[in-house]
Amino acid sequence: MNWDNTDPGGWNEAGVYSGFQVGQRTTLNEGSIENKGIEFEGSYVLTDAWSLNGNFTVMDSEFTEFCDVLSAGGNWRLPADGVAPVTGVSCVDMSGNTPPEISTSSYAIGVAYAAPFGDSWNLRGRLDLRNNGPQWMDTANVMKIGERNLVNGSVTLSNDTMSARFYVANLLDDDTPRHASIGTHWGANGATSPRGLLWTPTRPREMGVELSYSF
Amino acid sequence: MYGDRIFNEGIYASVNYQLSDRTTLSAEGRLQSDSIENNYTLRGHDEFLANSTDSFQPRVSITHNLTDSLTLYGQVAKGTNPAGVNIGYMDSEVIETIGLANASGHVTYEFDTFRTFKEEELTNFEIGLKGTTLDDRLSFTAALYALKWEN
Repeated sequence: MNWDNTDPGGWNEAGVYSGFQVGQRTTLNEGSIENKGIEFEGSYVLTDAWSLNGNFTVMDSEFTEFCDVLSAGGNWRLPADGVAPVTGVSCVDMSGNTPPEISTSSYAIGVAYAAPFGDSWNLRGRLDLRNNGPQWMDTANVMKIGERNLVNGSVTLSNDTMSARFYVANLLDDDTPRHASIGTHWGANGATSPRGLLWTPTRPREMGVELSYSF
Repeated sequence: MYGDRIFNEGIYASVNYQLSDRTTLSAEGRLQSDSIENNYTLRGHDEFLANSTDSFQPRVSITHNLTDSLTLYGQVAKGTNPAGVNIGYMDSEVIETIGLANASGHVTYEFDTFRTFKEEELTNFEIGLKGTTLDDRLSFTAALYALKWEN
């Protein structure tokens, strides 16, 4: 996927489509899908204070029967990739393709700490890594987002009335998009029906402190 | 602008049968009716669409305690994702532009192709192992599954 040149005919440098469009959020059936997989999950108590946890999933997923109406007609085009319009049919057979938004592998590992701190305080902390394997974002398996690794952590010091929490989200500042889609838009005069590319960025690294007091 | 009214009615029953000291067979079923009604009043419209699903969702499972801390299980279950509507396809502007896009060959579907979507049925086969060891310090689950979505 050439993310820098997805629809040179319709979008300007500011990312604004030049024509008027009418779009409609749509829920539609995606035929028959088979998923086969293995999952492992476990936790280990290292000491009274420290524990480890993790999970791992491997999955094979494919369309066993799906003729995609949205991929037929002259508007199916990703010119930057040279995908030719599929014309002359009412739908395009996607059997054998991987359904969108499914990772064929993912895992998570984490370490946690919880113990008294002094006479009246408690100290808790955790650090987690969550991995999601690459995912196709479309039924034709043209548009793919890469592997994502999110590391989140926090340390909390609290007693009966007060708590102070330091947290960090996306410690590695992973900037892989969370989601992408090719939206179908209909030109108001019917003369053009481009597919707008929409993508949702991952939130950048965020750190903060939360203080609370119970009256 | 959009207004959903969702109704769910269901009857659920389950039964467990102790095959032996270590083995339990369970069977359960849910008869369910789901319906959705949707109004669309954007830009002076007053449109209405509804869809409904009647389903039976059975589940049969068996668990066998290999030891006091290790359990083998298997299950077969069926589930459903109820049918629904895309009310926006009642909008006259959407109807007109899809008609034009269809006439000029940009799309092959009609203005009413996506107004409703069908129920999706899930069949799940799963076997797994759950247990604890090392003085209960290590707990684990392993599962092998096959899912089939159909509509």
